[in-house]
Amino acid sequence: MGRVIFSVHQINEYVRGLLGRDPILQDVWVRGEISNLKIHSSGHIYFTLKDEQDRIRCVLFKQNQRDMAFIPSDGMRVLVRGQVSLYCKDGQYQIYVMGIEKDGIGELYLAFEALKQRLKAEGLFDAQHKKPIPPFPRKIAVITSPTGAAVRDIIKVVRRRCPCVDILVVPVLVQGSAAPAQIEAALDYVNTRDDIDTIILGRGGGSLEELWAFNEEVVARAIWRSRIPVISAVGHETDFTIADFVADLRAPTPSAAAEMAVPMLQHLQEMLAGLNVRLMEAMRNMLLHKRKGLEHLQSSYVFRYPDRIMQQRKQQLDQAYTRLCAAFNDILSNKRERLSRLAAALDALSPLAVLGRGYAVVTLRPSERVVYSVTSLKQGDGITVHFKDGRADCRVEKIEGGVYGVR
Amino acid sequence: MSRERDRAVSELTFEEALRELEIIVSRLESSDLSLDEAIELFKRGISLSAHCNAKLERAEGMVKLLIQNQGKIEEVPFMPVEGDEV
Repeated sequence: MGRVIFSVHQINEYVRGLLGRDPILQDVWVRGEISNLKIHSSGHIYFTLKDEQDRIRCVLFKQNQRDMAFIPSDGMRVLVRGQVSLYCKDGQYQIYVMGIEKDGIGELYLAFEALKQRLKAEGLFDAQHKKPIPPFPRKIAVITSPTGAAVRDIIKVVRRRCPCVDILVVPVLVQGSAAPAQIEAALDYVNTRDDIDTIILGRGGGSLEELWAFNEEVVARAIWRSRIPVISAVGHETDFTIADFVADLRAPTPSAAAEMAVPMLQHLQEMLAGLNVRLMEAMRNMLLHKRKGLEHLQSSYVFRYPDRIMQQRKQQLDQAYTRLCAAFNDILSNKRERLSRLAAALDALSPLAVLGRGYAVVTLRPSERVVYSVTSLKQGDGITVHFKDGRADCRVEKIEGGVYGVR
Repeated sequence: MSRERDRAVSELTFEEALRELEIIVSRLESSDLSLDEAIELFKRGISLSAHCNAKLERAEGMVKLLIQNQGKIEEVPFMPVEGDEV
């Protein structure tokens, strides 16, 4: 039987081909702990994934790191998703990592969401319960680890912004099983004092597990109970805890919490100086206004020329008298004119005027009624003819109708 | 406000004094006050302003650490240690 001889390259390529044809190995999830992690200058990350028995090499290329929620480091327990293949140059098979998640995050996340929904339904996050942060605190309490970076940052920022503010550091464990009860007790204790204006509760960044104390219900309820406004400052900007939702104000970092808690001394001084200027200005304007008012009164007509007031009144009286007379005269001449017009009209209607133009009026005797028509006469009637200057008694001798075409 | 006006300026917190000062300034700026009232307000405003300034220029505040010493709560001066632990 003839021997078939492969080169190293050929056999590696063959195995790689075999692995590449296996459907399971193309997309697998593997649980393990990171060790021997190295970040190459190219940005690719190389590490070994191990469990109690075995280990497997992994590579995470830079282009697959974009959606990563955290930077992996040694000792981290993770879930890795990727493709298993052979790296021919070393003859070692490895996982080409496509995605990486922290192990255990699922359960913690579920617990977080459940508590969040429950407290939200209870109204612990409602905006109407948020207390305003005092703008000018005299003393603030900082509930945190006395050895952490958070307390240092907070003190530094407060000192820089407003040195006159007092700080009381209330030391607590900020992680581990004893932390929630200590934080709760600290919040309750500070609320027994009457010299604290604002509470800052927080710690520096950490893993979800390390921040977990701030997701505990006892802490949430202690914040809710607090009569003193609480600013939460847990971890980094991207970390949200239940404490953040219940707190009166959420700061992205401990330094930011300090900025929110105390005003800038310089701003206060500027504001005060501005008020001072306005106070002086307002008083000066007030005095000026009052003085002007007084001068105006003193310089008025009455004070300067009292006799002119009399003259003016006399003139007014004269004018009124003249107008009264004129009005009366107008009325009188109107009436007079109207009277003569009526008299003329009356004159025109007078029968005497008609007689004056040669007409005469005939009346029947003895009734003395005016005769309008020959039909009311008969032969032999006694009539009286009235002229403009007298009358003549006559007798009807003959009656003839229709002489003038009138019936 | 009337309650604050009745109190001695020296008893007021910075916040109370500042708020009253703002009210006084606005009243002086806008209202038709009698001269006597205006002068009273002005005098009060000046002392409020001085009081606020004094509060701001107060010496550096204290940083204290709360400790439990044999069951008793005490406050001791505190100086944060430099370092990187959380």
